[in-house]
Amino acid sequence: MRIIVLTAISLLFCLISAAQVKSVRVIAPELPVLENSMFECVYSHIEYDADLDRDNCKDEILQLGRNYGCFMPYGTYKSDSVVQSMDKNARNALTFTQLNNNVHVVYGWGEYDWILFDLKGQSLSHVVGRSGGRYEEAMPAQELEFLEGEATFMGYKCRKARCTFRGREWTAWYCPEIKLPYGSWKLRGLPGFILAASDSTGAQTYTAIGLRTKPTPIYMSRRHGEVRLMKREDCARVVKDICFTACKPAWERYNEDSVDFPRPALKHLYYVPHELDMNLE
Amino acid sequence: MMRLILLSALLCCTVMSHAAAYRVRGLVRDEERMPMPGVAVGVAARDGSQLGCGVTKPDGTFAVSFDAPGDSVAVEVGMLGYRTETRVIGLPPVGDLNFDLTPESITLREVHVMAKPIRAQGDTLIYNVASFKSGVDNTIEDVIKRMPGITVRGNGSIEYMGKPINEFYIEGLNMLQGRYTLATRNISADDIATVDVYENHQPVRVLENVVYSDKAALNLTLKKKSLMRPIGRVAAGGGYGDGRGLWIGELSALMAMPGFQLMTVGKTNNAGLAYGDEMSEHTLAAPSIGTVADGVFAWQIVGGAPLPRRRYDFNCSEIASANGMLRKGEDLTVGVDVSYDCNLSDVASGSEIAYFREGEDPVVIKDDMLMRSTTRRVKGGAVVTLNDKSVYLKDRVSVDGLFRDNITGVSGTDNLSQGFDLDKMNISNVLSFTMRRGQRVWGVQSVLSYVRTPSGGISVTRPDSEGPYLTQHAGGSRLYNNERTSMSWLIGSHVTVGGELMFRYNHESFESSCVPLQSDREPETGFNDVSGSDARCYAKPYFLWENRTVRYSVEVPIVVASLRYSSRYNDKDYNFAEIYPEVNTSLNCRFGHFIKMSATGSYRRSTGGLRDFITTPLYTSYRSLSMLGNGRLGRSDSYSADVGVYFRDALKALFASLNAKYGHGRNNSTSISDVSDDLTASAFSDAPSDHSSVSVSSEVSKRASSIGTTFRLLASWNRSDYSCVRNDVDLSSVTNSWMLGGSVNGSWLHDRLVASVSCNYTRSELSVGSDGASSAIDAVALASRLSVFSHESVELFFRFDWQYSGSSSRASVNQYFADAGARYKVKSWEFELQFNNLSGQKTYVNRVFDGLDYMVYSYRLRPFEVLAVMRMTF
Repeated sequence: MRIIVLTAISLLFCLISAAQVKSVRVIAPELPVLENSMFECVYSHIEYDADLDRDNCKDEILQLGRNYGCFMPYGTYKSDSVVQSMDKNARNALTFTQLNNNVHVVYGWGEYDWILFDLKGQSLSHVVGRSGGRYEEAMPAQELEFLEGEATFMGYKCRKARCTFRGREWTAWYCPEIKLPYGSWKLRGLPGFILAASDSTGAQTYTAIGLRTKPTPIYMSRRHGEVRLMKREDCARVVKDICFTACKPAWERYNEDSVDFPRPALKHLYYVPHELDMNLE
Repeated sequence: MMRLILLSALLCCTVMSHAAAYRVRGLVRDEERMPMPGVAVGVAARDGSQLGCGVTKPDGTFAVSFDAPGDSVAVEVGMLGYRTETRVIGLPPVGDLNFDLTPESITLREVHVMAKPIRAQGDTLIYNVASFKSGVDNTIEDVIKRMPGITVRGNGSIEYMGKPINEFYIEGLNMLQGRYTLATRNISADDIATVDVYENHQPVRVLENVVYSDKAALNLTLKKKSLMRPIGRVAAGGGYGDGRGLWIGELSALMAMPGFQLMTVGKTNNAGLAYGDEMSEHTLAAPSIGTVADGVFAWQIVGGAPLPRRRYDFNCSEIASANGMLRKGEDLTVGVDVSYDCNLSDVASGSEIAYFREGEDPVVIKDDMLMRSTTRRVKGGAVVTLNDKSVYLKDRVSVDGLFRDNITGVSGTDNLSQGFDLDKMNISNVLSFTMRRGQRVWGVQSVLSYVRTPSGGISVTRPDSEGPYLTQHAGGSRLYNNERTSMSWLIGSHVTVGGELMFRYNHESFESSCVPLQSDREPETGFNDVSGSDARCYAKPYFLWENRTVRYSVEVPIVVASLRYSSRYNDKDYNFAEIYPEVNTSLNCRFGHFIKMSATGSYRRSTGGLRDFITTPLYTSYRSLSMLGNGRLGRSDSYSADVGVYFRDALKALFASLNAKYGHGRNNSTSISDVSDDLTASAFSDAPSDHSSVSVSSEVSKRASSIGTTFRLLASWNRSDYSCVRNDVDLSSVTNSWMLGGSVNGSWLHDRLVASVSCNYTRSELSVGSDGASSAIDAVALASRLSVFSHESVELFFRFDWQYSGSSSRASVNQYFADAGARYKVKSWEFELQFNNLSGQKTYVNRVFDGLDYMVYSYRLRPFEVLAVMRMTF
């Protein structure tokens, strides 16, 4: 009898677990609104890992308000917009499947890299998703040089400038008509908004694809309060370690016994750091 | 001396004043006189060039250093939402500059983020169908034609960056096994979310990262609403033209579920729509194997015109096809397909062929022809595929029956009728097995095929002859078996070495007869009875080196061939054995993530086969007598090189390709022909001959999303040189052809106006004979379609084609074709009224060079016709 009861309980448990797996709830608390944005720009961002010879194309957005700015993946922005517009009950009932079908399939999955700019204090806080940490720093200065050349992006005339910043030499196209000294990622300081930028190695390319002035809330990331505060170098070191050690066991197995273990498809995870000025060895 | 010092000091001061470093400082405040951090401060020269810039600090202060050549600069302070302040200051700057900005409304033009037309994810390009679709598109093929980088040929085959695709999937399943036009011409564009291109697609998962593929595959991703339920459409219609009733009836349905797909198509019409392309296998699962008899006769005396068949084909076509595929788990699929295609066609045409003769006037043959043909094809097959990361197993068995006959009435220089009747049956099995264990990859491929061409051929009757004037029959069979095994080792991360062993056995037979012969022509023609075998094997070692951007491979097959044929009619045996090496090498490079380059080079020897021992001439048409071989084994040594450069930028939707090919070959025989007023005889002599060819082609395509338009530009040049003997005179000919073309395809005014225009200019030059006299044909073809949506659901369309043909020796020809119609859509129903051939053109003339000769073909066109069609999608 005990066996029957135990078996029944086990089966019930399995059924409940299966049901739970199928409809995993999203943990979506209400996020504090820092302020409403007055300007938003969506960029298409292509990263190219020359070592793997693979590229990755994603959309990212810069939200700018009077006091704060925020740079994040467009998937995160859309996900936050959809989830935060729901009432509490609807948010609590939200499942990953619903979120996936309604947001991520269209806009791509959000990632955890998220940069908050304090425009008044001229500082930034960068949540580095893969490191499990974040760092804070003053708005970094960049070496700028104005070059000859004009180009049009989204109908806006832009001028050319060179920007040397943390180990990469960027070519930036800024629009004097848009009086904002910001742009994609951390690039800033030009007398106009940066609508396109690419680094000299071709590893990073940003191109603006959308621009709007309709106010939308700038949400504080939940992750910002959850992750550890670290040094910038430590964040970068953790990311590099993860990328290069994840495939290491597969390579070791292959080198030790190449007969029974296939050659791994990847030598390391996709790794294209923006900043090359740190010694991470 | 003093003067010199003073002059030098003055010069230094002047130089310093032109490149002096200055620093301007100040404070920026808002309307409440509170400091404004993060405000852009720019310093510009009088000519507008930017000299320096900075950003205000948290306390609103700024300091900008700059070099200035003049005596004044403009300092500009601006912030979105505030009025920009500009002050001109003298140099050097004196004191601090304070700015108080006043608010201003933001008047920036917004740019909305649309779903990108093309997204790149590594080696996958995702084309968003909605970005390319317009109101005139019925099927997904219409939309694919607008996608930059992808070309859809007239027969429905698809190319990506100038190379044919190697697989076609629907939701990841290869259900149609290469007959993908069935899908592209029957699935509605409304049911497809994206068209995905898998670049460098290796369909065998075991060989991913081991065997390089330079071809791409296409995948159709259905919309969610179109999954798990039948989708398709039904069409029915009728019409009238020149005393003839027209009909059209079509039904197509697709059911796609995660583990099962089924597609059925049934169609019939006599309105000029040919369905044969929908049954063609564009990606071959097995090598195309035929018999010698199958290719001997000219199936159609006059070939097809470079004009849509619906304009000149008086047809009655029907097809039926059922295809299903079942997926078990992730890796195992089982598929079955059955299809039937029947096409009855009447084509009225004329031909004027000027056969070149050195030092004499050409022989000109002018004939009018009316051909009534019937083609029936029955195909069926089954395929099982296991495609996982360690094992690949695929077995496909197929049966194919092709039954063709036609009768052609000829009047003019000749006055006769020619009947043609030739069938072909084929059964084949293709088995592939590949497995991988660590660094070793082992594979086996077995192809077994039997083809039979029952005796058939041509029968010529003349009005003045009793019974057949000439009957030429031919038939034969072929048993083909190819076994291949390969082994490769992956050494480290850069090097792969391996070897392949192949054994091929090919038994062929050919019989021909020419009875009864009521002719004054040579009586001994037409009898052959040749059979024999061709056994070959090769050992092919290969070496591959690759890193992340470069891949180089070289393989050196050593071929051993043994050929044994015997002719019972001539009572002769032919035995040959030889051993020879070949070399194939390839280089693939990537430059960044936009540019790829591939180059191949090879030396190959091809040896002939059964055809070389068919030494009795046979009639291949009523005025062509051909001796297929000269009793000597044909041999051709050829060198070839091929270079391609490919560029693609998905974000800018810009694709470009450039291909150049060169080939040179030396044959141990020369083609000879003898042309007279009533016969063209061809054979081969023992003298060696050379031939070479060069071709360069380029294509650029770009989607300008902001104006909803796709642009395409094509250019090509081909040159071929070859030598032959005509009427006992050695001749060499050079053919040059250039092509420049382009197309524009777009929708404007919120899809109220949809238009496509394509225009090609072609020039062909033929230089032949001892004096090198050349003649040329210039042709321009323009095709256009304009659709106007007066209301969202009402489309008025107009099609206009113009073709110009000019020749150095003939008057130019201008030909116009026009169609018009209207379409009304309401929910899932669609009503269409077509008026075809509004210009009332009766004939179409086409001029071409064929070898040494100049040909003018003319076709009778379908008359003015009215056709009403009703369609319903589900």
